[in-house]
Amino acid sequence: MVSAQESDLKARMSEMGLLSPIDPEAYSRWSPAPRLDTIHGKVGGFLGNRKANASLLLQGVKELMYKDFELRDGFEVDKYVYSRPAADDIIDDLVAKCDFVVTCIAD
Amino acid sequence: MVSSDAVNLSDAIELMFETGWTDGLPVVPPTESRVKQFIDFTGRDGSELIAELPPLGGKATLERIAVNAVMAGCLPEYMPVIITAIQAMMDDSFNLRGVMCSTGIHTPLVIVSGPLAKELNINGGYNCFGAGWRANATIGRAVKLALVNLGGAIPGETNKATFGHPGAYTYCVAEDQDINPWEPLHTDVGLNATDSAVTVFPAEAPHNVMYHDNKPRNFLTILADTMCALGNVQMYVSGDTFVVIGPEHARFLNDGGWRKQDIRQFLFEHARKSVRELRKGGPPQGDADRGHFWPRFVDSDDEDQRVPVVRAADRIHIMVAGGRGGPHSVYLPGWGSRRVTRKIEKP
Repeated sequence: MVSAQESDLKARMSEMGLLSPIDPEAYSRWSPAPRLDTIHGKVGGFLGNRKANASLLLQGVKELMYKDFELRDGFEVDKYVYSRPAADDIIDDLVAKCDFVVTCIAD
Repeated sequence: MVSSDAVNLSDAIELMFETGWTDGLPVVPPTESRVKQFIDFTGRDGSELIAELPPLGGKATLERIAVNAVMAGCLPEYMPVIITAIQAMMDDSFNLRGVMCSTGIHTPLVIVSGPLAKELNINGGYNCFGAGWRANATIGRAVKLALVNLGGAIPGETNKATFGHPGAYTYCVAEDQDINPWEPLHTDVGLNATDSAVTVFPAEAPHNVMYHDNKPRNFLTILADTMCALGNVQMYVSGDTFVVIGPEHARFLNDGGWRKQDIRQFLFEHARKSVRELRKGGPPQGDADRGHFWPRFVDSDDEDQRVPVVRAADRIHIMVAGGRGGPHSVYLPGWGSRRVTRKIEKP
């Protein structure tokens, strides 16, 4: 939904005959993944970005989640390299095995 | 409609600030008529999709690129360079998503080589990385505006550069073939010397390398030492790297019989640090233990093994630019991905 401020800016730009440098639909193509009602007793995936600090942070989060949410199981995996999205086979594997995934991009 | 009326122009400039679509500096208001001039110059359709720019995936149509180019203050004849630069950055080996979202301080550099550089008055001489030339200032700026406005690489949000550097406003330079004693940069990828090309590279800010004498090996030793600093991210990620040799240094190197390949090989062999030193200093120490990005021949269990700044000699790219008379060259650390070169097709 376009906000009142965005509508106002758009109207004023149109009034002045100015064109927009953006793709107005770009943001609406992205949406968060569906959320579970609860993660209690679920199987978690922990996807690191291959940086040592990300592994440390994920390990800590995983331990806390096991303790607080009594996870049934958990899988840890790293992307091949921090600067690219995870490969399709990694994503497919997580989808097949896990109810939710926690990612980390620590540097 | 925006006219030459000072109040209207001022209002338009302020409105563009309100949109958040500037780089912090005033932009030229992108009127429909001005944008049309840019599209018409290309002889192509404004709805043509050039790229879907990461990380957001915004559709960079020819028209939207033209809007950003007008905002940057470009001339219509710069459009082929801007379009080619954007297309080059979409090459997977450039890894534009990673380049634009990293915590590193690099930013895409646009290098123009061949006859078009002179035709468009893109500076490759004095102050070529500095200020004063419309083409350098606005071509680079147009590319950066497009990356932010269409790619969504917003500083502090998706673009997590810890510091950034002034090249994030604009970073565009020409290779000066008049002073270059060797073949042009774009012939590295098999283009003809008579072609014009854009090379894109994720470059940190230029690092000066001063050398007052005229002995090639001494100069190259100093250059190599600069290249393999412990804090240089290159030492850990082994991406491509650039050397911009100033005209004075290029002259005595060439007079001494040094060709680009000789220079690359020397630097590859000498710009190295031991595994022992690399474990202590610099960025991702965890990755240093794994030695994940180093060339396969490096034995990361051998602490005396010397790790080169790049994976292979041909990953050191050499161009010639800069003002005459100064004993300076420049080292441009990269980020980890590859340089990409594309031929410019004029309309």
